[in-house]
Amino acid sequence: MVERGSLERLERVVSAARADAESRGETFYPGASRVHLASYPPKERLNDWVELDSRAWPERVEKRYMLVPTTCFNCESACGLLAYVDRDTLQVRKFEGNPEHPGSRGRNCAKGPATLNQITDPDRILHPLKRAGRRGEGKWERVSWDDALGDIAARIRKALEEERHNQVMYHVGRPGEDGFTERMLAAWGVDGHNSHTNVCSSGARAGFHWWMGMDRPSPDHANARVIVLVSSHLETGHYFNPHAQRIMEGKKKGAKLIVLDTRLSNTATHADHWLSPYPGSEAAIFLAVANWMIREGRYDRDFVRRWWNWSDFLAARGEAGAPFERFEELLRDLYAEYTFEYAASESGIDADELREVAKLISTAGTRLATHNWRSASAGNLGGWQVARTLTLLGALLGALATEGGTFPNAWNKFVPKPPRLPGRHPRRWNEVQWPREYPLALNEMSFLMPHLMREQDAFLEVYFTRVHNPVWTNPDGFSWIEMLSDARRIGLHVALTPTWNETAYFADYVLPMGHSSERHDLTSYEQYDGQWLGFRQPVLRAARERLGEKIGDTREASPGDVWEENEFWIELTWRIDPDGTLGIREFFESVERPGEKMTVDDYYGWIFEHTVPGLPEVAAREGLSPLEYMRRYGAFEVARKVGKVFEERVPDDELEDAHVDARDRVYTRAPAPASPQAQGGTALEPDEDGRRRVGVRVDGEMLRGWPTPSGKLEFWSNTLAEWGWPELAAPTYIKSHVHPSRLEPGRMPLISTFRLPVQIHTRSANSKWLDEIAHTNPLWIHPTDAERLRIGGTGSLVRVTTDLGYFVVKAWITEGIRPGVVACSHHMGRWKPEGQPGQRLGMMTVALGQSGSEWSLAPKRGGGPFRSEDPDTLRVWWTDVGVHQNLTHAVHPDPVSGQHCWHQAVSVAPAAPGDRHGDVSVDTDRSRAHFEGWLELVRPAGRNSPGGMRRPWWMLRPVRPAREAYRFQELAAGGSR
Amino acid sequence: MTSVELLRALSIFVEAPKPEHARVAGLLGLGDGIDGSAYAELFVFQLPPYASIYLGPEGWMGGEVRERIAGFWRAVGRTPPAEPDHLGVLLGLYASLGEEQGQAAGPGAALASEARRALLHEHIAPWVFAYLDHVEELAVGGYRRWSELLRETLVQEAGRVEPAAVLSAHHRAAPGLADPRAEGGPTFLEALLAPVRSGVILTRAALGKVARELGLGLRAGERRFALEGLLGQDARATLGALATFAAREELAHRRRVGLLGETARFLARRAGNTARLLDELAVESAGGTPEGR
Repeated sequence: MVERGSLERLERVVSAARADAESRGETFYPGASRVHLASYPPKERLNDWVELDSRAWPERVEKRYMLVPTTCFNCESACGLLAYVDRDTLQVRKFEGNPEHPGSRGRNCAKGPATLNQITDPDRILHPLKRAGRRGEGKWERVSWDDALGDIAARIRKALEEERHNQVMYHVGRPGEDGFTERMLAAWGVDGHNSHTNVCSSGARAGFHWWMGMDRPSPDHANARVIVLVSSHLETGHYFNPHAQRIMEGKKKGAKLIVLDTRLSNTATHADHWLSPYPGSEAAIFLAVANWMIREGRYDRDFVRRWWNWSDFLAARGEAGAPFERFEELLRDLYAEYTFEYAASESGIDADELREVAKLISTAGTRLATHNWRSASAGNLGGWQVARTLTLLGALLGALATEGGTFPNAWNKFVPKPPRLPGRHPRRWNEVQWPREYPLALNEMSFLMPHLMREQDAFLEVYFTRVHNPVWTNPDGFSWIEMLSDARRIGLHVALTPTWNETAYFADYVLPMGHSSERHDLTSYEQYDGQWLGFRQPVLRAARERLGEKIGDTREASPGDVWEENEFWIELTWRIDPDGTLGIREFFESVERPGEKMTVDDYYGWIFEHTVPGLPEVAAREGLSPLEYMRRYGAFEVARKVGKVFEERVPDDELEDAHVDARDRVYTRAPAPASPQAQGGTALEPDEDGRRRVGVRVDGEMLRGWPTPSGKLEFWSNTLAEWGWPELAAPTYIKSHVHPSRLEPGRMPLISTFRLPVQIHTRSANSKWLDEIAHTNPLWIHPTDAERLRIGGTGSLVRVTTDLGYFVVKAWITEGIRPGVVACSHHMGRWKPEGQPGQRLGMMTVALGQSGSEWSLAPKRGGGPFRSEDPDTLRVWWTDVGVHQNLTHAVHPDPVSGQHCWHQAVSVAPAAPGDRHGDVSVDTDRSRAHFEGWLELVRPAGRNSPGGMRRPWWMLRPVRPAREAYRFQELAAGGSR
Repeated sequence: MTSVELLRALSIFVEAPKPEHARVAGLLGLGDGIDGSAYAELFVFQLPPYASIYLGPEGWMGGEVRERIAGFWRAVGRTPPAEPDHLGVLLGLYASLGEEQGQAAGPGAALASEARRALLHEHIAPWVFAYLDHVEELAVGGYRRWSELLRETLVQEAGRVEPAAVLSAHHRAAPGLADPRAEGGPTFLEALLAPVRSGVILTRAALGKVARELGLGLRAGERRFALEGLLGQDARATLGALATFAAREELAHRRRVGLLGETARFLARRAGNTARLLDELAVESAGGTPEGR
């Protein structure tokens, strides 16, 4: 029985105890509920967590752990991980989710826990290696870090002293970090930041950028009414895990999901409307939806009037000053031809279904969340218009930066300002990365490097590939091998990688870098309407420091000679400029101890102390320094509900001597308020009197607006018009290079832009758990096509002929692909040449053959079991590790966005006698011919160059060079190109 | 005084115990016995704490009951958790609505109050008091004390509001017990094991008790399998024992009419009907098995 009055007493007792515990920064109740999500250890027990040892079952043996947060380094989502460090052995036993991480919220996909496989991979690279034979011959000798650093630093120093700055290049795959490397290259004065982005997301980025001045979407899926995905974000992609969990939240609240994917992806299976369009017709579909919404008046008229740069559109048509109503008339006319029937004829999707989808989208109001990352925008000529027309729908509904709508990335991302930020910009323009033929390319034209190096007769003194594998990832990989093997092109190739890859085989140095639990980085990505900062850290170092050890160099806590990157770059920079005479070293000196080398604790400690709002206060409440707080929790939420930044009023004190120009852009003489964030973003021109742009006037109010030349959403892009593409300046539909009208008889589109859900390009190759789940990439082919082409059945070998050659692959006959289209994931098909060391898990051993420009790759041995220190490797039951199809892909640079257009026009036939699974044959002479063919599509800067510039100044650019370098005059004085 | 924090504290014990539970158990004076094996026996094997099991026509987890409860979460502006009908989260939601009621003013407070009343009448009271009867029968030590405290707290909460004038949607939607003579034995057994249809909660332990009392063997397996085993050995005695059990359940429901009104009457009617049917079947079976089996 319960005594009278005891309930009231217990209520008071529990309330008081809870308040007391929480005032000490402790959690009162146990961690997050099992019935909410999963059970997490409470934060008070991160240093001493006890679990039963599953391997000891049925004995009850307790294992004691330290739980150390870090950040996953597989895909770019940067989800939080908790490393379970065994207190007895100081080894990581497992990785689980970090509930303190605002983006991933404790949840992970398979790739996060599989980090354990990567750090315990018996084939990982543990020591610095130097080439001992010819490039690619497979002979290596172990060298010390000291020797490697000395050699590399001396070459870079010499190049800088001799003003050969453009001969130093850093080529990165997914960066997985914000700010460190760009700061370093700026300090070096090198325009050498080269990324993989033009084989990835730059098409979509371009489409977003020319609307908003920011280049990625941040959909608020959890609060959306309608979600439109041109992607497979319920299974893979950036930022799949954080987005997928919020898409499901939205669906649980009643949101409808529309997925455009030619394949029946795992995401499409969850859709309320799965649209399987003919590849490249997506923009036609969106324009048909837009046309219907415009005609039916189902758009937010006031939003369009206030925030679109419709007056620029009118001015470009010679109707400057005409009223908004005139714009609406023209808008109706502009898209009148995009009927549902037209879109149906282009896409092959029934007009009634498109109409139904249009009606659904129009009901979303300001809660339309949309996303496109690669997919169609990375597959097609003109793919950037997929993102641009998709954004048109949100812009019609006013669903931008609204709850349940789509935000621009920069407002949902936080990149803190680092210490000793070099206020300098490279003085020389790197023409190999930013060739004049592609002045509007949003990112570096990296996949054209072999062709551009040859055309420009260029040479790189030092070329870093950093956790990147262009030979395998890029199209036309044999041309890459030719370039990397050619001493006239590459002086020294340094591959920074934890794992062997196809590119590292052709390097001069292979330097072992840490996996996600072995390196420092800062990350922040747009995953919801908020801003967070994630901290990746070497967990064994952090664990040992918790136990009271002082670790000066992360190598002390790493396996073998594995190093983390930050310390490597700091050390290399000091060796490049040991006495400071090049003016570089100063940026890598400790702020606290000038003249001494900056440590990672100096670097991150300064950032967390000085430029992360709210972090010092939160840390102090727990009696921790900001650095200690981040080492303990791994992430911090800087802001939530950022909202409509563009509608914010410019404060009066920022309107000193303000000037409003004829286009309602507002300029001020007041200095920009101090920001904790690193510089970046677009560069908006000042007015004629040197005032800086501060906002835009809308209905008489001074508002922040958008970081575009007009300050508005750019329905009409003057940039595109002035740089030679007026016909593409408003959102429109460009027929793809695989449009039926452009296909030769017998050809069909091949889609290769999709991932296998648990894999992530080459980065996850050494994860045994992931490889067991997904290890091959068959050709998706519809039963009607299989019958027409006389392909026997699933598992039959087929030969797929591309413009450069062919590959041999197994067929997967499935109704999950549209008839008339085939698909093959670009994942898998990893290989190592005979005689090379390397990964045995998930890699075939191949013979590379070359005769002039004719190359072949012939598998000699597939995957399968092997003996190693890990007994699991004897249990590998699969031998098929897929086919490396990208070798046979010609380069297809989009003439506007610069994106490689991945879709291939191929013919498919049963394998020829003698064909073996995995065979590849290519003629690189044909790849040159194709490069030249696509080059004919461009409109170079030299021909359309307002102000004699190489590129519009305002557009985004990593490591932005000095303004003088943008001008062609610099070219004349500079020598080569 | 509302019992916001007390309910929140009580709610954590419906989840697997961790070291942190000890502190709260100490504050509540629950005593010993809050441990993993007691938890598993009570909440995993005997009485899984999900509303859908006690309110759904199949007597299973999930289904329409869970959907209705998820809808309630959404209606009060919350994202439903993965298992929105788990007793722990329902109590947590009730506490959080109480907190909201305390902090809001005017219409906000009235809304929260109404939401709280609706949660209690629609999704908690229709099953939890009968559920706690069985917890108290089976649990010893800390969990028994926990159940008594929770019952008393909920009685206090229910006493603050008018009894429900109409049945909850779950009860309205639930079909009655199937008669094996008309609908077949399998349908009857499924209905008998669905508390909302039969008005009785037949735990694994209750079946064990029947077996012991009748000197029958209890086959290891899920409840329906075990029940079929008992009926196969001695249908008449088993049906008679179950009828007695159901009659006791009817009485327990009737004792709550003052507190729960129509809800208790509904459950009492169901249990009474079950007792009568089982009696009839026992007589008819005369050593055989229920017709239709």
